[in-house]
Amino acid sequence: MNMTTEVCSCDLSPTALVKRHSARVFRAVVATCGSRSTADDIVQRVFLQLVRTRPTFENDRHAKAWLLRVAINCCKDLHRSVWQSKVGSLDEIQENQASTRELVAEHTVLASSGGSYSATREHHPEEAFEKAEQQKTVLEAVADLPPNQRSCIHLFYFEDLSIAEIAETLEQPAATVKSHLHRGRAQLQTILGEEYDYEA
Amino acid sequence: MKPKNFRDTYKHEMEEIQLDDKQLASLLSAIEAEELTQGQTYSSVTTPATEERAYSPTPASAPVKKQRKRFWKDWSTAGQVVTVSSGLVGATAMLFFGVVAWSAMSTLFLPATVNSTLSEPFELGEAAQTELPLEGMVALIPADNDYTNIYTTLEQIHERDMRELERSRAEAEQRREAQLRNDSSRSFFSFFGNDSDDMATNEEPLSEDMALDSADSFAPESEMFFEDDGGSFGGASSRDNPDFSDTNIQVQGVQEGDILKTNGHYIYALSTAGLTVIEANAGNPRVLSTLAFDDAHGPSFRPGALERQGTTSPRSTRSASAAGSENIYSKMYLEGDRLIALWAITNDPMTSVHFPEMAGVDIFDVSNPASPRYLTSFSLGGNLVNSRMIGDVLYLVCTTYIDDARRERGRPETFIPFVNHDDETILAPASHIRITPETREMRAKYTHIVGIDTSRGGRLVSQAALLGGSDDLYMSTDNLFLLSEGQIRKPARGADIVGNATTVTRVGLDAGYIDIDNSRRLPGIVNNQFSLDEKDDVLRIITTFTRWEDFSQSRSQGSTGRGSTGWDSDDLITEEWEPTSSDFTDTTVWTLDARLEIIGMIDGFGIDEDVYSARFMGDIVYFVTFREIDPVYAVDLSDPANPRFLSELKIPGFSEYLHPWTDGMLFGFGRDACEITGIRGGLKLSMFNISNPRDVTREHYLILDDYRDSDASSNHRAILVSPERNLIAFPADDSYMIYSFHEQRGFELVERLPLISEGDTPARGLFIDDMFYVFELGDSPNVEVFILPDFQTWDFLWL
Repeated sequence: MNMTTEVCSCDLSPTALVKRHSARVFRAVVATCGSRSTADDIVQRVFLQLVRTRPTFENDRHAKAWLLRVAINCCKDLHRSVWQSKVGSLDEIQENQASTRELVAEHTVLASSGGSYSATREHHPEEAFEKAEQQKTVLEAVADLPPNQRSCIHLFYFEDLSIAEIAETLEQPAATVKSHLHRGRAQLQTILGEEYDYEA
Repeated sequence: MKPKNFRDTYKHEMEEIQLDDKQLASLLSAIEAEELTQGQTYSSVTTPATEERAYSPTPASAPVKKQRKRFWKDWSTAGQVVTVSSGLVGATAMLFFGVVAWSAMSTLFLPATVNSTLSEPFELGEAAQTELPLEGMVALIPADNDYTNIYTTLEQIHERDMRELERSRAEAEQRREAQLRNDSSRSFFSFFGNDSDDMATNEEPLSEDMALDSADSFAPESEMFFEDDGGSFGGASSRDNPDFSDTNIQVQGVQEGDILKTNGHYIYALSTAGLTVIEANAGNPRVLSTLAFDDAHGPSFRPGALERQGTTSPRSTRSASAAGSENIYSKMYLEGDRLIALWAITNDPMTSVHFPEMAGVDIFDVSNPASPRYLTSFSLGGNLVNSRMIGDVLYLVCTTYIDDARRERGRPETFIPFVNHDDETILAPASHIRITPETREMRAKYTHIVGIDTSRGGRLVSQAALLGGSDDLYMSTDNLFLLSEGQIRKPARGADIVGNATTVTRVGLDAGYIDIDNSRRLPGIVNNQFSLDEKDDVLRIITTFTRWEDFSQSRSQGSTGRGSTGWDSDDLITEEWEPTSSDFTDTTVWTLDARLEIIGMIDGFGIDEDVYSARFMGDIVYFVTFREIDPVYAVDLSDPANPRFLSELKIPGFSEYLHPWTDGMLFGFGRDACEITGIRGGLKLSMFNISNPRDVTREHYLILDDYRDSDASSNHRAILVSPERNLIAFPADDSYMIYSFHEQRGFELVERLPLISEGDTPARGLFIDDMFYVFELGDSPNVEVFILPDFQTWDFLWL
């Protein structure tokens, strides 16, 4: 580790990074693993890794990229472990379907609800359920994508990263990122219909 | 209609998702605690901290130095430590430092055999201070008949946790104040301090538990299969003994649960549809019956009210399980005419509602597969870690947490693990409980082991418990080895040496009777169950040790007496060694006797690399480490006291699973990777020639550039390897791939079957006689049938 760490204008201590980037990391995790239930665990893991490995960051952008990369990798590990430890885990399958619906609902009701699926769903669960079946929100549609596409879509549309930046962040070839994005958009179009413009 | 902008809509919806204040505060306090554990904060990189480190009460450098030298000498002269010479591993300065560092580390750990005996009272405070019981042999203390010492220990742990929290908070406070004085730009620390103080009493388990979580991602549930290659054997209650493939397991005779089981006539599949019973019917499968979990347990299933009956209702609706019934069948075993289904009710860590976690097993009589009959069930509190089955006996291993709020001295049921069966609660007997000093655990928990004889209607044979958690296990036919990850910390000249460690606990098994024997702590962690093997009462185990400490710290703190580089320099590690983000790692093969005393070891493998796969084949172990290239190592363990390095093969990429093929061939399933950067490429199939273990070569390989992800990378039950049928079948991305292997032409694609649902659909393949069945068990469960050997499509069925 370089002892003469460049001191940049912004604070790069873990606590500062938590404050500044935890929401960002959380969203990337939710978007990638499609499940809120494990998201804050992963976020915690990401920041603990930060404390443990103490990478040297040149600037905040660098730190941000590191956090996103570690977060998305953690999700992938988790993805494996989900199938690993709960193979055939019906609830995870359900959860993958339900999670995004939960996401929106949870965030409006979570504080007061017990967190169970039906309880978090507004006041008319069945009605809402049917509605969700008919017209998915964008988040729900994204959650239906495979994990790699999800993370690329998220970084592209939410973090506004370029393909090159995504490739750098995910340590994947740009062509791969491109194809994930391409497939992801195609899939979104089939889920959401022609309602959205993806190029803007 | 003008299309809406996707980006804006997505952003808008995404911004709704936020960490709430409570989560943020909890995160901050976890970070702070971790910083304390690490003994420093970021700021100390530039501003050397002056405070005492959290876990280094006696940084006595001189005695440590003396002891270290002596120990290395003892070990090497005893001929028990064999280090691969640098020439073999591709000598670099890194290796040299690595080996030296390792020698320093091992001397710190190895001598630390516990002096305390079982009769001595368990003194937690002392253990936490000296930490000696954590290394070497771990004293397991038997429980008193009335569980008094367990209760006392639980109280001590609880108090310790509280004290620890108190202390962390105080120290964090002090540090913040110091920092405030030093650096006004970090003034927000104090602001957050208040938040985290509020949260501290609810603190989540810290690093230890994180490590445990990640351990889940290792294949925890199976056994091995070496000599029996394909995993294919006829057996089961069949009249005409069809030849069929069974779940890919590690140890012959030790069954592993999976989501698909067959006896050659009937196939049992777990999917969102529930537990489906399918008649194989010579390639024209028919669904006979479906068991939904809710049908068996009722929607109002509660602990203690296990009322259910076997039913054959139509498939459950998804909403039923989405509506809060989180208990689901996760795995099955098939033994004779009994189907054993495992389930678990777990807490969602995101919700504030906590109900007692439960795991259990339902036993069905499937002698009439059209109408499975529910026989009985056993349930226990906690999370299922893993399970195995030997003959009729099912072994469950659970982690059980103790609710400190509910704990009452006179009521053992509030703090002792139990099994529920037939409306009866059976506590683990005191004679079968051991206490291990788990001084770093933030919450008290047990590893609960249950042996159930599934024949004749089901019977609890015995149960045992270890106060202390477990992450993974390996089971041979005679013993269960529990693995628990932790860390080692040794104060050394101002900078703590920190590294990961594994506690191995040997548990004797005999037809369901369970006896906890011994525990030992080894430096390093275990990749997965394939890194262990028992042969002739010798446990062979591969660990990868990672040191986390940044030793440049010790220099900046003005430590003195730096000598030249060499064995007897204290400062080798700091000299010219730039820690990378994962610091230093080293892999060791250990041999341990039945008392878990170390017989021999050999280290120096994969400096700065992690173990990706291992396979023990008789006296020889082959294992793969990886960072940028993939050495395949062969080590001869025929003399356990003197493991010998045989060979090393370096090729790009790595194998995550190794499986014996025929005639001195070893099949490897893994990923390609760039030689220079280590960036991973497509999936890769490799065939190694191991007919001469001193000269392992790669005969053939095939890179699947378009496929990157496979369930089989981390779950050996997802891959089918059958040399007899010349089949290698596995899911890859959104396809199911079937390959064959020819000595001249290498790997050849036989069939690529696109899976219907994209994403992580679990898929399994199996053959029965001349029919090959590919099951897709996600949310669109189906089976497609092919005729071997040409893979003509034959039939298709929705489940």
